[in-house]
Amino acid sequence: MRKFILKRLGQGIIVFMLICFFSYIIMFLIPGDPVYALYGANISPEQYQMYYKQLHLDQPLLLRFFNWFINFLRGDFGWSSRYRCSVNELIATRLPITMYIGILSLILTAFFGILFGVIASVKRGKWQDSVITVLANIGSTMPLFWIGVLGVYVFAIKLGWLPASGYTSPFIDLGLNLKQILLPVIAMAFCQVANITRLTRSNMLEVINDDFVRTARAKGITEHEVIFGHVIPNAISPVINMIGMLFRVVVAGSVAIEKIFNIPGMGQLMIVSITSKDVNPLQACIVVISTVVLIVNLLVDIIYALIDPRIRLQ
Amino acid sequence: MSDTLLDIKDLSIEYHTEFEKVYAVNGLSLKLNYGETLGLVGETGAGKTTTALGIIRLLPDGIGIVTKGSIQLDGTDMVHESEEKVRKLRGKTVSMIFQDPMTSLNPIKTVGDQIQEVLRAHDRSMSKAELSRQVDEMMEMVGIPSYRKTEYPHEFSGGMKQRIVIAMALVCEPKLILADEPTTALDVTIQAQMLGLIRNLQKKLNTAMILITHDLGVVANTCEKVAVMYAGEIVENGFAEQIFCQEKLHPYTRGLFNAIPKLDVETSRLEAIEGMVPDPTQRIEGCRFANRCRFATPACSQEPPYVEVENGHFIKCHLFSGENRSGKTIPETVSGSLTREKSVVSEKEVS
Repeated sequence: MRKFILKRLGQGIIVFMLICFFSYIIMFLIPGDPVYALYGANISPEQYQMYYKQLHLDQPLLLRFFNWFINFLRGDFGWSSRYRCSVNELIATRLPITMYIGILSLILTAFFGILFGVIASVKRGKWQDSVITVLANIGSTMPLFWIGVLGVYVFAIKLGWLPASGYTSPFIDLGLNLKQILLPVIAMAFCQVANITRLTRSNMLEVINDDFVRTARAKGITEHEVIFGHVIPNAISPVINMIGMLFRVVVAGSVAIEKIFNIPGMGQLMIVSITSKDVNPLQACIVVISTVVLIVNLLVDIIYALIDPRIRLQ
Repeated sequence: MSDTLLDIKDLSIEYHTEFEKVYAVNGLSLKLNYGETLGLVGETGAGKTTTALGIIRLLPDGIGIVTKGSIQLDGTDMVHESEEKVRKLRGKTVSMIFQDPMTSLNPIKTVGDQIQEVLRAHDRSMSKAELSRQVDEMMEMVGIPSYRKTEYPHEFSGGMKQRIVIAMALVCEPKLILADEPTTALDVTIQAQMLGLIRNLQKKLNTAMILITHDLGVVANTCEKVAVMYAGEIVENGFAEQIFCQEKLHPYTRGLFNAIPKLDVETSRLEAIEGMVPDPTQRIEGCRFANRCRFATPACSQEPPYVEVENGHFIKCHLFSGENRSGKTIPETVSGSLTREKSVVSEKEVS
């Protein structure tokens, strides 16, 4: 098991370095001059030369990358010209917000997705199954931004139960915070619950007909023990894998959701950085988000191996 | 207490699917005493496994339905008793060994846990140390060193897995084991080992067993009693000696014996039973074997009687009824006296 984790960790580090490298050089592939982007087009040629040197643009690309990478590892993400503050500060305030909403919606997704999937498969062919299957099919066809807008329209504008947008720190006003994040969290979870439900149901049905489930029943254990002790553990691996992958979807979804609900998270920061050609925060966003996804995938692999002993051999 | 452990009377089981009804078991009656071993023989689709699943009540939910008859197991009505009560009997009073050891173990649980689960299901108060001791003992009994209990099924060979399955079936010392072709998925050398193992343990624990197989050799080795199944009913039932001496046999059983290759007679082709098993979705009046039977007569369109040809030896066939009761008029050579044409004619008459 330790060997397995070390191997996956090593692979993760290699991927991390590749991500850093590409997110760095990609900035120099997009059109536009970084000096003009940073300091405006109205500077004199002397000033241009000065800033050019200041940004180390006269050095070779690999050397610049190396210096940037070293700073990066030290935790120095550079300076944001758009926000006029250090990128560290930006990330420190925004990453927790995105993670907070993302993880909440992911927990909601996993819980209800697995719950509904298990109910539908155990009650196969009964009315519970039909209701869940129909809802899941509807849910999986609705796009995230549409549910977000619909939620705002119904619950904020028509009914007035919840605020339409904005974000307050939970440490300042927990009640208001919960009201504000309720819609974005549910909107993000809604379509994913449908996918998890369908995957759980089909995996459960596959396992429920396996010979070893019949063996388990022949032992005289309760139906409850059969489902929780034998069927679910064997059916859950692909679901956990999918939840890991959903983490990426959640991060991508945050771009749309934060725009709709006006939440100052990583998604907003990325959009603003791109439109204002603010290179440093954009690079930092890409690397930080990729790293988080990388860590989540590593955790999924480890959970996978903990559940299924056959994985550990590979 | 009577000697009868299992008493099945006139049992019928049907499979109801969306498209059709399958008559899998039709009016089957069977008795088994404590500690006895019965070989349930018949070709694929004869309803052997369905009968076993009916006894332990593990027929596919909502699809396999007992439509008629009763099953009394150790004083419990296995057809009508509540699910909770039947669950408590599974593993404790009756347990089952399934055909394919490769798929009948949970791949992500250690084998020790899987054996222990049976014990825990029937005695929640058992301490951890006691559970562990009993698992160790059982594993040693089936010939697997107990330190391997923390390993997973994929770390064992096929024969070893079947030993684990046997350990699981026997750990609560059940009164009846249903062994559903326990050796079919294994190679021949392991088959002999497995049968030896099952028989030894069965003797040691004084357990009755129904051994389901299509291999007459296995039955000869293992069983005291034999029941031959054909198309959902028992056509012949008796002590192993009575059947293996081959004096008086149901024509189907004779066909089974003839299909075994003989080393002392030179033959170019194996003798097969002509025709096919009747379609199980159709109800058939009279003898089900008639359309394949070389001795079929017009009388065979009537339901054949159950005739006791010798003490404890029953045959369900018109050949043995009435004046033929002694069976003397149908010696083995009778097959030669009846011509092929005649059997074709009678086939038509029947169908």
